[in-house]
Amino acid sequence: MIGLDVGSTTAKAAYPEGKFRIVESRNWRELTDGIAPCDIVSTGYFRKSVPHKLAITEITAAAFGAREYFPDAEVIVDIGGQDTKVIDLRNNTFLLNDKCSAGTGAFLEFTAKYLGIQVSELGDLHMRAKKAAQLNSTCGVFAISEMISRMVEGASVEDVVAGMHYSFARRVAKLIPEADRIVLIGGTVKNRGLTAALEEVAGKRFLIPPAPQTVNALGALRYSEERP
Amino acid sequence: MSNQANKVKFLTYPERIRSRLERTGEIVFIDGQHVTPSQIWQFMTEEAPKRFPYAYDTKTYNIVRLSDDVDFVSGIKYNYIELTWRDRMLAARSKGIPLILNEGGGQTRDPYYAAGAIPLRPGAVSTWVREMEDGLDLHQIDLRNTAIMESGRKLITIEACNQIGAHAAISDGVVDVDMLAPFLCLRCSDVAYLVEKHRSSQRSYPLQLIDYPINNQVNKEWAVEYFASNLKRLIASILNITSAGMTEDGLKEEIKLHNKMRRLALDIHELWWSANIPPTNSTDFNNIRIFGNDPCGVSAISAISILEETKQEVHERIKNSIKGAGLTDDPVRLFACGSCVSPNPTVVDRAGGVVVGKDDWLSGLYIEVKENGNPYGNLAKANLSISYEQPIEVRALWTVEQIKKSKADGMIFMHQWGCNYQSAVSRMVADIVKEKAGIPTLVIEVDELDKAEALEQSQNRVESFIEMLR
Ligand code: SF4
Repeated sequence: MIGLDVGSTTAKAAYPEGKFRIVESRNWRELTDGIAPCDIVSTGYFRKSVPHKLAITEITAAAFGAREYFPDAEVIVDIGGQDTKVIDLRNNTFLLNDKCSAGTGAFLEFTAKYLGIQVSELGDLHMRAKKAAQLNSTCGVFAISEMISRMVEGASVEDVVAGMHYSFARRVAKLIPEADRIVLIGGTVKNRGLTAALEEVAGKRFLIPPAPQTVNALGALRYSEERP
Repeated sequence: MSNQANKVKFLTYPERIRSRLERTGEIVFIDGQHVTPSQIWQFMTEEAPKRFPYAYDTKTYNIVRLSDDVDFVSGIKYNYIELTWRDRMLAARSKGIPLILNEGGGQTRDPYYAAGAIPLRPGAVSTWVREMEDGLDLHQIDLRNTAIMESGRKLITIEACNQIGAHAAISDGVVDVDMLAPFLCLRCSDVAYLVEKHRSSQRSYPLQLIDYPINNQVNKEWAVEYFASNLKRLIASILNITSAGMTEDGLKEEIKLHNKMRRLALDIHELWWSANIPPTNSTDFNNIRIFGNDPCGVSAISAISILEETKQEVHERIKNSIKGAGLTDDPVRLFACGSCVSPNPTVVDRAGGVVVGKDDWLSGLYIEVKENGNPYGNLAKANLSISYEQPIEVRALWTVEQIKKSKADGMIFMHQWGCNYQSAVSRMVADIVKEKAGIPTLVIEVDELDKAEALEQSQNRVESFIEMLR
């Protein structure tokens, strides 16, 4: 059995021997080579479009996956490519930001594209910033015009990236309930600059699993083991 | 993502159902048209699949699809009534039967039928628009509905709920009605835009505002009298169009028939709730609930026969432990709250749930209009007592009662973006339900009214909630 998470940007697989693989979503077939549909538990927005024995939502997958690393987690914040999900495991509730790109991976991609850099470079640029540029807008569209204004005023790319991360963090932090053990997952969490900004804005340390991007794939696998 | 996703599978009715359908009664419409079960079969198996392929498209997310419980014969009749909506409205109108747009909630349909008219909800206007052109697939009807909705938004406001599409369809002449008669109760913030659209419309329609005394006025004599005079004026305006007459006895007779319809639909609910195995899927159960309130142009006597047949069929299914098609074993029971939008019933069923009730339509079924005495006063009192229109705490406590009766495991309060009142009260209703019924609740704002596609994100929430409850 494998756990297969096919999201809007990347596809991730968790294999029983403890291995993970990540490819672009359109190449998801590479992850299931030689694996029969009856051995796949899928999750992610495309869970029903790929062969599967069982398809579960990312919210359930996240709960099962995060528990593997942090059994006493209270809240999970999953910052994905197209939405951000906040799952409160204490009372089985969840909040989703999926209407607005601000506070999602799409916002970061949008910004990186405008600045002519790769999304993977954003974290390092943030760390080299001298003074984060002041960006007040949490809206993706207005944030870009603010970035232009700050650069015209002389801010460096590094400072603008850091400012953008703070703007992003302010948006996400509003969704997070008061809790001690908050787990951050999702591909975006690999961005050190963003997590640093989020911790500063929220005023707390977060728990980050070693492979935040594959937690949902692992959760799908664990779900199949616990509820065969 | 997958080529498989593009293949469309269409629902078909197997021949074995035909003889069962043919043993049921005919449907009689208020314009006098009779339709035999054989004609219904012919329409549903030959004509409608060609004219309305979108309704037969079995994609789970297709919110306008037919129920796939092909063995539930009563369900075929509800589907027939839905798919012939436009044809029937045009035919009725050509025979001089007025069509009245009646947005706003807080009302029974008896006065319209007593006056010889057919009331149209905005949702019914959308059904009409869907059925205007033959051969469209799901994507094409979605595009057309969105275009009409956007034209309404451009002319009036981007802040209205998606029902602005129905108003645009009327004012642009895509759909023709004889009068606009919104009820000014709190449930619906869209009424303001209906009135505004009417003002700026190129076409002129008679407008009859029905003032519904709000804020728990049911026990105040003045309110009952005042509301009764509004209802009287509504009926007089309809009669003015038809130049026909209506006696108080005629109104009383219609009230009696509608009381019977509501009681029957409620009996079916109680039967359904009492069953260990849900006897119908969510789509068919929703259809029964709506039809019990609004017979959609079917004569009240015929509507009663359809509901009696339904009751008998549900009873048989319970006796023989037959589960509604498409349901999983022991599904999670969801009670839905909100207005105009509901969790997509097929998505719920496929995800392992079943919708056991919906507050707006269900509250309508509990209306018992007194049958003796002044019919206007009786109608006014009954309409003012609708649980859904009461102060929020009273409405929430009534919802708790229904949740207990229906043995719901969870409650979803879903409201359409732009539905300001429902959006404002959703959290309070959910909190009271959570506290008093002790079940998890989920409040979701969606943008799916009148949309058949691109609803993955809201459906994802519903599925997640079901998974959590499992
Ligand atoms: S969704 Fe709300 S605002 Fe829109 S028509 Fe329905 S009740 Fe009115």
